[in-house]
Amino acid sequence: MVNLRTPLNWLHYVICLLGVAPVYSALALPAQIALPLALLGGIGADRQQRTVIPDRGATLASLIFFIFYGWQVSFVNLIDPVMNILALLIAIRLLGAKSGRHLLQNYTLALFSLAASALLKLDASFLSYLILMVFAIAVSLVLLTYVESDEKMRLSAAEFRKIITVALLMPGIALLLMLAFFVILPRTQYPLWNFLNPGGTSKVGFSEEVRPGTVSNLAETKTPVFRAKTMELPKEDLYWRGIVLSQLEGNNWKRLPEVPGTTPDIRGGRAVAVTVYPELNERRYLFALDVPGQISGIRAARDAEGVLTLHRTPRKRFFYEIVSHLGATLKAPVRADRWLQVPENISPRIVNLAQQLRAAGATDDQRFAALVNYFRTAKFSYSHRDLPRSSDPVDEFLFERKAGYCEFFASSFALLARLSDIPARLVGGYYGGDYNDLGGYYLVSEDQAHVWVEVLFEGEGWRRFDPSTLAVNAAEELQRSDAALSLAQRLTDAADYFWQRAVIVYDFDRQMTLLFATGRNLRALRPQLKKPATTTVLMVLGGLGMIVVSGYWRRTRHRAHPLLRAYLRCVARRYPAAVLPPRCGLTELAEAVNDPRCQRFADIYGGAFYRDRLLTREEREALREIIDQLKSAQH
Amino acid sequence: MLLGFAAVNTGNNLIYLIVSALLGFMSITGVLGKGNLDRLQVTILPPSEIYAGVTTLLTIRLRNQRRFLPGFLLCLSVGNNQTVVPYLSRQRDTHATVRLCLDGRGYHAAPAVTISSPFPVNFFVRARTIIADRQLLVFPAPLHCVADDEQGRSRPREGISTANRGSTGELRQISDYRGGEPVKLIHWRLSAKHGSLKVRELSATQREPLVIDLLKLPGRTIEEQLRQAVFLIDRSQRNGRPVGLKLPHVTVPAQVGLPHKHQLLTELALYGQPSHPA
Repeated sequence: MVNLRTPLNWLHYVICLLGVAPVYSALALPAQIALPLALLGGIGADRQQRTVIPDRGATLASLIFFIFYGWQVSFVNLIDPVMNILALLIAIRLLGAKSGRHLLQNYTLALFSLAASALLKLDASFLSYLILMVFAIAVSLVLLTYVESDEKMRLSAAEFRKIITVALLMPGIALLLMLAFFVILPRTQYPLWNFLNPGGTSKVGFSEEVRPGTVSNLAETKTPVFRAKTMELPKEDLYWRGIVLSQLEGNNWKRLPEVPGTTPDIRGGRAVAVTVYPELNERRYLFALDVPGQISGIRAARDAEGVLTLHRTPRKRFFYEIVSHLGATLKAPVRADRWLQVPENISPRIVNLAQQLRAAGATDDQRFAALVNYFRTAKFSYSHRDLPRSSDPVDEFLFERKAGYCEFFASSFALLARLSDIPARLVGGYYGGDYNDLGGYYLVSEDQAHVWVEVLFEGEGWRRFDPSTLAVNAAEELQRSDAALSLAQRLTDAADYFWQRAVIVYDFDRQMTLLFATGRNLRALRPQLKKPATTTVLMVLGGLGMIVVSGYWRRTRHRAHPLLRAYLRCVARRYPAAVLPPRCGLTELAEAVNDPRCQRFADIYGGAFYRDRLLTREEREALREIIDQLKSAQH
Repeated sequence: MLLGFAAVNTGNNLIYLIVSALLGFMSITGVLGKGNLDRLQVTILPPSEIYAGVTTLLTIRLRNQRRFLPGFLLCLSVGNNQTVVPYLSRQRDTHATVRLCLDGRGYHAAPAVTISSPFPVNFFVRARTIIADRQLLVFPAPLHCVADDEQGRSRPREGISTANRGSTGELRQISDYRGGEPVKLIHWRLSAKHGSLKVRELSATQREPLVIDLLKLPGRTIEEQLRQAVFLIDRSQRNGRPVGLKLPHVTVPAQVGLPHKHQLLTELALYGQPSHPA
């Protein structure tokens, strides 16, 4: 025999763990210590069938914690105190009495704790916790119902198994319903408490400024930046444009506040559609394959330099669709001096080198060719370690260390170009990406942050050039970050990608889009009827459907009038013990149950049925009255 | 409610997931709770002898007619008495017993049986009341009395053991509980095994016939006389003594046997009732 208390207690511990685990690392130290101790204490106390904290003590302790952490609550600090309160209340309940009411309280606290975790992070792991918790709570509630019915109830192992099977079936179906409810639950376009949602964090890698020489070693991190769904493309096309830096102050490349022109003038190139799912961060720049064209799905500004900027820092996950023009050139509105600007204190060695380059030819092409040739023959190497860190890191890179990463290559190349009268600017973004063939998207991570150069040619426009590719070890270094992910990594990332796509970015706009798309699809069915094959199939299906419906209708019609069906249901409930012969008529039925009301029903109904006429209004009302009488007699 | 409010106001899809899961769970528990009480057939199996004002055990047969769903935690109530069926497999039946006490002799409508269940999650208790369309005949409760031929006798006369049922002889057989047997004769172990109450039947000893003249019994009222008659009939039956009954309108000759006993008790139960002569 199974004592239901034992599995109920264990499910209680599991539910508490599932509620607290997602927020445990964010809890204050007292709560972090209290929880495991309370869990162990609770298990021990339950085994000895006693309580560690009596009811009054539990109430008092709860009140103290509530006041202590409630005092810390404010608009800027809301989640942390609430999480700590929840965790400590759970701990107290673990040590307190375990009546049905107490267990229900702890289930609710655990559920709230899980909900609070959603305000910290948006991991796909949340779904695992949620599913496990729904199953655990469902089974636990069923067992609790039995225990509440009779504390000492014992069930056979077979009965216990069957009850657990049905109890597990409930959350299984509930989770399917969850999907439907998730899609249709009402949403608002501008949630009032949006500030409670987890904000983005700044990541190393991409920077809005380029300052070579500020670090001696560059740390690489595989933190995802965005995922871009598109076809697999050659590596040389995978330049994800982010920001354009045109202002050089000392060694620091900055973005100019104002950009001439309003929309970019894109010439040529192959159009490729890309859907980008960025990770949430505090940047306002959007990334797209170079050169970005029309963007949709989010409100963003696109300036003449092809830079996409959000109107405000994002507070929730989003995605956007963009058409990029691979290999296109971006026309400059005018040849402006802003792209020839250089700082005043440039080292004499750089000035001398620039003079040599300028003397290489009269045209932009000739000077550019000389510059490229210099980089190719100078045997620069690509490195993330032992980087130049002097007051003039570009000079040190060009003439002494001859090793650096993309910022050194791009900065020095752009500076020399400008000194050679070739307009140039830096473009920051990402280069490459790990293509996940399971999901059909590129995963771009912070270690793929990159800076390259754009050079303006008279009459042609901006041409992209990546001086890092001229490093002697470029082939090895630039390919290094694209090392193929293992199958497990791809699977994990694909799961996270689908989680983002299906759940995290679903909002009011997508809900409306889905609604309108459904309407459009229904309307679109009409023109398709003109197609002969479709028409034939639909006609056949329609004919079959009509046969089925008419057959059912006829069976139903001959079987019973709605009033008759209602009457038979009432009689069955009113006289459940009556023994009726199979297929007995209404009169037989009335005799069997010996009820004058039934006899009256048989007379009225039979009077119409056997004369093949419809029931009159008065007859219908009389029959309804009999049914009501039978119904009221049931209670 | 709070979570739903939080979901709408934060627009956080993870909280929406929690709310959706809870709504889904509530939906399925509602359906399951309703389904748990559907297609259950209740049959009342009363004992063959019910005495007015005497608590007896009423057997209820509960059949789960459903094809797929077993029955869970079904509570059967008759008046203030109830019994719980923790689990009932699909297409199976079970027997449960509840205490029943009916006042007043004659026919009584069978008591309403309420099936209720807090399954699956005890948030609500659903219930269905079933009124069986049958009547129960209640006999007058026995009232101790000494027959004329036994007065002054300190203890029953010794007799020979017969094949008739009694309460003093040896174990004859095991039979179904009919409602009038002393509790000490209930065979609990066999009752548990069979799912219905079983009693030990003891043999009786042969005695001379007794004809009870109702109106000559010492009771102060007719009801007391009826009850004394019942007592005498029951005791005679147990002792294997043939017993008859003399009423103003009818005389039933002395015999032994259960059908005869029921005939006598029925006459007494309906004595003076409408449609039955006094």
